[in-house]
Amino acid sequence: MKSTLRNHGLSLAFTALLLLALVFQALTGQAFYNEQAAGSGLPGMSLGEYVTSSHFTVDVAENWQSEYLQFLLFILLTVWLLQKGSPESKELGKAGRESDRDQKVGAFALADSPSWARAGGWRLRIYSRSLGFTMGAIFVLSWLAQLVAGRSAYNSEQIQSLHEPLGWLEYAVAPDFWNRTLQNWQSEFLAVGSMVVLSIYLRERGSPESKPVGEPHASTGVEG
Amino acid sequence: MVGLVTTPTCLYAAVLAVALVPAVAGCAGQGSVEEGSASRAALAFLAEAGSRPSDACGLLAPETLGELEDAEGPCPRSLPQQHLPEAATVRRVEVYGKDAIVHLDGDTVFLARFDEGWRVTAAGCTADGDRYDCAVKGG
Repeated sequence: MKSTLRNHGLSLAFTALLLLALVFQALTGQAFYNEQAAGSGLPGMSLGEYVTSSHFTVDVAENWQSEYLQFLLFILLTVWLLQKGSPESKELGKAGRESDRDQKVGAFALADSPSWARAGGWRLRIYSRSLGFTMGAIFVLSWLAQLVAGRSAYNSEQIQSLHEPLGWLEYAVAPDFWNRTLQNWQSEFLAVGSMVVLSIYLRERGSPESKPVGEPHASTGVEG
Repeated sequence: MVGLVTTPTCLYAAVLAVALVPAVAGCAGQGSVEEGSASRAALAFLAEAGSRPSDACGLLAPETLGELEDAEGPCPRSLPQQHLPEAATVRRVEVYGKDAIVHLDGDTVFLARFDEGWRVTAAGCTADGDRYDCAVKGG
């Protein structure tokens, strides 16, 4: 048990934080919805109804899609784009997919390299891009969930205000969909940009996201 | 528990599934079941508004009932005076969560689903652009 916590503490901690945040988002979201419904003389929702409603789904999905887009772009752009001095960047001169030697594939695979890294062929090609594929797939699915749930939640409000609901294409180009999307995207891009730049000059001793405290500002691709 | 936490990917996948699947299933599957109920409530309301107004008043949402009675007097007497169109055919129904819009021949009715069932929030509605002006509506 102790070694499990020690070796998997990071994922366990973030899973716990995620679950806590979801629970409190559900509780506060339900309270907010019912507050607004009561003010308009409309029916409220139980917690069970709320977490299976489009209102909760769109609020979760709009945040998830932007997080996975952030990771997708960060993963892909850091293959080719560099930032001098940042630990978030590869070393200068190493832009691109890198050599088989550096990537420990083909003849340079280790005995304990992942099986698809040792296999070669289409398996290697897929595995070599599996992180981007997965982040991209989750981004697309969660953005689709935002579209579906967002239209339902928006049309619910349209009906409450005696307006005509929107069709699929109408909602896909509607300000509500794009406002939700872009307000999330801007914060993700800000966060990544901040991390890339601030980590050039600032340090956090012991964190792999930081350069060692005494590392020069110009050192690139060095982690603590 | 030990087996689960030794595979962080599985743990995260489980959390993603638990969080999103029931929510998406809930918001996707509700419409078809409730469309019939919302349609029946709209038809019943319009059928009874002129002939059995006391019954029709029981199908009004509380705020809509209150608005009508504040403006026009007791509902059983004031509702027939709104001269709501008699509509017998449902052309289209859209349900989103606890809100529904029913397009009928001659009228459009807005409803909300309370614990006791679907109730009319607005009726006698005509389109004005993408907004509706309604003879009977809440605040």
